[in-house]
Amino acid sequence: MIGTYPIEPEDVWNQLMIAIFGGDRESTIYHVVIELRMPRILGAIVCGFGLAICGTAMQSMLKNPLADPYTMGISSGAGFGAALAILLGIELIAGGGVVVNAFIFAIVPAAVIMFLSRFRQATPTMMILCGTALMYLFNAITQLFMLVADPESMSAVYTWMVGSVNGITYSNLVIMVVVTVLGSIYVQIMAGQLNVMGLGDESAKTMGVDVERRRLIVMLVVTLVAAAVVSFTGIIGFVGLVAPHIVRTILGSDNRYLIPASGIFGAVLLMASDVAARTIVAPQMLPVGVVTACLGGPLFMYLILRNSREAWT
Amino acid sequence: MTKVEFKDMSFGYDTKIILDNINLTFEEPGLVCVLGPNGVGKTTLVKCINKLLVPKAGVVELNGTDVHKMSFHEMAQHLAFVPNSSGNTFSMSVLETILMGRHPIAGWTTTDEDIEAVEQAITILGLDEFVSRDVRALSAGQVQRVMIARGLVQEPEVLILDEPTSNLDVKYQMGVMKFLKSYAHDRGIIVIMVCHDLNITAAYADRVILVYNKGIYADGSAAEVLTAENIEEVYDVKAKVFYEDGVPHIFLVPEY
Repeated sequence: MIGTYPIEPEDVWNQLMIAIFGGDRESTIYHVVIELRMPRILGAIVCGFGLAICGTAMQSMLKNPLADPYTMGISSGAGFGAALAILLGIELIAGGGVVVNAFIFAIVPAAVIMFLSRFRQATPTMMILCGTALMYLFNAITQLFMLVADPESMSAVYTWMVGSVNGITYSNLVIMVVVTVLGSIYVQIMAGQLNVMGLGDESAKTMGVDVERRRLIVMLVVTLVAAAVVSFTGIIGFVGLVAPHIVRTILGSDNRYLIPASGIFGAVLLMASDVAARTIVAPQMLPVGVVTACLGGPLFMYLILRNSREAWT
Repeated sequence: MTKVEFKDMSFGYDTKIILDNINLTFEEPGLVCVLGPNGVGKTTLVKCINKLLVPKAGVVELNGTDVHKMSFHEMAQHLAFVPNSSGNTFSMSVLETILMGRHPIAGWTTTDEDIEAVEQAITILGLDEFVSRDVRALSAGQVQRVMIARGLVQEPEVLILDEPTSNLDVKYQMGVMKFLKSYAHDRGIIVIMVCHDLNITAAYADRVILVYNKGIYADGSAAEVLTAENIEEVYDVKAKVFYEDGVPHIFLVPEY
């Protein structure tokens, strides 16, 4: 297991067996593998998988290659909620702290977009523009809060805003896994309809898809998944945007294959980024969001340039 | 037998009425062409059939049921719509795009029957050499053929096409019209298409509907509808009409 405390694969296996079947659970190696690194690795996998699934579904249903939990304002809403709790001590539910605040405010932009979609017949373009406007709004207010914050709180908010899988616990993981798995199953079942929705609303309707209703439900599901993930990890951008695009250049745009493949790629990308974040400047740690962008960015650029005529016109 | 019926249907945007009190029945299998000047509501008329637009008054019925009481999935079992552009956002091959036409009738996986229907449509529309190409990389005319193929594999009882020949050269225009007419008769289905070319319509349409002034100006065979008087009144251009074997040939007289 790669990290500042090198551990052989055999030892990792042994500690896993101890965790499952019992044994010496007081050793340092057990503490490092099972208590420190395992929740972090599993957190990176679940987070990467969930965000990539969300990005794929959003891009298909909104017919927009720039759609992801970040550009739809979900992450910024979560950031605002977290900043409220960290900087001003405002908790929407007493004792809920940063996580509950982040979760609730992550849902706000999606709720506004869904309201516009349901009652103002907003088009996909209007929806993503509203999401982007809300993203800027929440970011601006969060920045405003940070101007008057003390250095310690500001540092905490900054750490949250660049995202990390560092503090994830097993109890966090249970919530993340349950929401992500259920959401992913739903999105996978809807893959065929998402394919048809990618052809445009009129075509999709005449091919039997109740576009407005389906878009609302998928939006709600992916919002819950993204909110459940970012509430625990902070804002990890880029994975949701880039993972679907990278996989699309390899597998094509059929959501039946794209959704699971993007999820797996997102999980691998975030896990690899986390390993890099822990080791590049060890014993210090880099923000995982920075490493994700540094790893995925050049790969994405390369694929864009190589496949520009095939995948993006 | 499938029946589409407009009953006192009116459609408009806000206070502007586009179509007023339309009564129209489609029952006989064959090729029906909807003609009229730009902006009179031809596309609006056909989009009211498949619930893409909601009438302000009256109803459109499919086999006696108000289409707005049917789900989109239920309707897609009977009706297919061919738009005049692909709408693909992401890279999709011709094969994948046509295969999506099977969505309303297919199951979770692609069956041999789906593949057979797609292969047949590809051959009919002459798309064999493009099957693996990205739809967005095709010419407008090729895209229209892909869209028609997608509509065909849906195996509808009513096939609605919005200007399917507008980007095709004359050879393909005639080929598509000939195919749609024989397809309608062979399968016993109703093909309703919005088009602009009077001579192509006259040559192939079993029935012509001329839309003008918020209503149906004329409805009948090409010889009955495409008269010099009707053309002059509706399009405001002078026309001479010659007949050969009962088929009108329209010569539009240029004004200098």
